[in-house]
Amino acid sequence: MTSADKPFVVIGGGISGMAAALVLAKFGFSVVLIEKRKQLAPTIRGFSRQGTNFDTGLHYVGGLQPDGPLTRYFSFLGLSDVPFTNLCQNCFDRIRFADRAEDIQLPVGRDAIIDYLSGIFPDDRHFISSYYHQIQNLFDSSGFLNFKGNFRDATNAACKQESLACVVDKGTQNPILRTVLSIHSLLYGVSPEETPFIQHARVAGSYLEGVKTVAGGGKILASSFENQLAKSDVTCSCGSAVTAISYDHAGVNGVVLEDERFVPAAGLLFTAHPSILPKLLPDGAIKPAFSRRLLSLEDTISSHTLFCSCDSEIPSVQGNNLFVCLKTGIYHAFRPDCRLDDGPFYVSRRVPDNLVTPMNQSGLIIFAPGNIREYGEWADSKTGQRPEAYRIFKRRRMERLLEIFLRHCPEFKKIRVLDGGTPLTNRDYLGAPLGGLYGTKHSLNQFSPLPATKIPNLWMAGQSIIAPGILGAVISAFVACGFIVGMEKLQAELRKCI
Amino acid sequence: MTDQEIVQKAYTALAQEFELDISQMNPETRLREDLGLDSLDYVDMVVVLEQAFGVKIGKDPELTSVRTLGDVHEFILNKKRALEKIQ
Ligand SMILES: Cc1cc2nc3c(=O)[nH]c(=O)nc-3n(C[C@H](O)[C@H](O)[C@H](O)COP(=O)(O)OP(=O)(O)OC[C@H]3O[C@@H](n4cnc5c(N)ncnc54)[C@H](O)[C@@H]3O)c2cc1C
Repeated sequence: MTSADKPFVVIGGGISGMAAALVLAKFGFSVVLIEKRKQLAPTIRGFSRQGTNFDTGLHYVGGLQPDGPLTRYFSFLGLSDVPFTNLCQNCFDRIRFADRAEDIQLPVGRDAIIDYLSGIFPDDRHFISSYYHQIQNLFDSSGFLNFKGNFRDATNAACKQESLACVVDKGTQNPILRTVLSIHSLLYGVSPEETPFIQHARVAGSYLEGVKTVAGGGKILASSFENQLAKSDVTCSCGSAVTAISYDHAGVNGVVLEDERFVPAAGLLFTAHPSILPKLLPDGAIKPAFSRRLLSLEDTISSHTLFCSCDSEIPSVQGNNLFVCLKTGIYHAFRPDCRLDDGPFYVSRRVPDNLVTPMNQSGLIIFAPGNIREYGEWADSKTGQRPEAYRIFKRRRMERLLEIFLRHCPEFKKIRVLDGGTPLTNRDYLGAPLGGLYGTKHSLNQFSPLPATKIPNLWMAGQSIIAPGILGAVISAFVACGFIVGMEKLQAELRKCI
Repeated sequence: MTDQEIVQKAYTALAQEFELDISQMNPETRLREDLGLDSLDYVDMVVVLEQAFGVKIGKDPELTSVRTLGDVHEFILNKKRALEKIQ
């Protein structure tokens, strides 16, 4: 087989792997997409318990206004049929504080947020306005988010950067406002103290406009991807993990699967958790320095999760998300010794796919911070086979979470808990070695891996590479494909979708 | 740690982590041309030095002007002096 007939292999069938497979197919590559779980898109597919449907990995996204970045990427990928629906325009995020009578209700739109918050915090109105304008400017300054600019070389430019905490703490003394302006760090799982402000702006900025969710949940987006992959002749292989990458002096030449199949490869894009890559490569393929760096990257926040059902509507999570802050400030949530009792909690209810869907089928999820270290003694156990001691510990944790949550949110007292998750559950379902929800941290304290590697035909993509979340994962796929097919060629094709 | 010990420690760590021949390493050695380290390796080099010396270097703009192993010593010694001043 010559390299011309060999396919291009993509490891990992998440958002980034599926998006990259579609882009490469569009540029004429024959692509094999390999996912270790039984179905593609396990992170966002969700699941059901006793007839109630739950979303994992996708609760809400921004940037879906008609000329928004995600709209354009999805249109390029042929995913324009996904039934996105608006969250409530007057309040897409509700923020509750234990010591404040009224909830904060964030509306969609930069100017609407500025007006609303300036009304509540009149003394801080100048800072509020400058904060959101800075966010918008930094967001627009990225060629990947604002297509008018150029795709710039996506390097970890060596420059001194300010943290989100630094910007917010300098701007206001008000502890409630500080919390409100940094609450979205929970959407990427890194403390404001170590998040570069520019990174925050590029995630939070996407939620200023086009804030939507998928009616019917993440599995609808997953099946839209599946249809498009089939139409594009991408070969998908699910249910068997890549266990080794085969390599010779010229670069990667194929991959070995768990079921012992060998798939030849002209090039390889790796999209799973970065710490998995060195374990798949033969000795000598990468320098010890690179391997050590990938293995020592810190993970984003982990969680305890309650999966619940409720027969009736609950107005505080109707078309919006709810954040519950038990303490003002959120830095504590990211510390290794964070306590369940200190919150914050994030609550989201699935938007049904049509009006006749009974309310009890729309699952409600409550997240609280968690740390896998607390579960160290059961680290060797697997989902479904965990020892009794773990189950008792987990049950206590879940009961405690529910008790504290209901104390602050009594309108939820009719919910029924159907299942629960711990950082170990996240680890096993998300393929995240330390149970992190959003891959490895994009932090002032560490260098995120880049799309290109020293192996000429091996690239990396995924939420840990450029930016987190659905939008970040999609962008990472486009950047990596830009390295593979040529950045300018790709950008020219993307511009045609505007 | 004396300056000489610091230089020795940096060489050993870099040689090990980038599989280099320590006998070929001296202050004039150019990272790019002689050792074949490119911009992708620079980030790994920072992490190696951070781990070897237990200091935080992070995304320091001064790193962009590091060209030779001599520049690397200079950079680390400066860091060390800056740290000693703080302590
Ligand atoms: C609970 C939760 C809620 C979230 N909510 C939101 C939200 O509301 N909005 C938003 O924008 N983002 C959200 N996110 C983040 C978003 O889901 C992720 O950023 C995104 O799905 C990541 O996609 P990815 O392709 O980078 O990674 P992944 O989805 O992790 O894809 C990597 C794939 O590689 C596979 N794999 C691993 N090892 C191997 C191997 N050896 N061989 C083959 N395959 C392998 C894995 O099974 C996995 O499917 C949420 C995440 C979580 C966990």
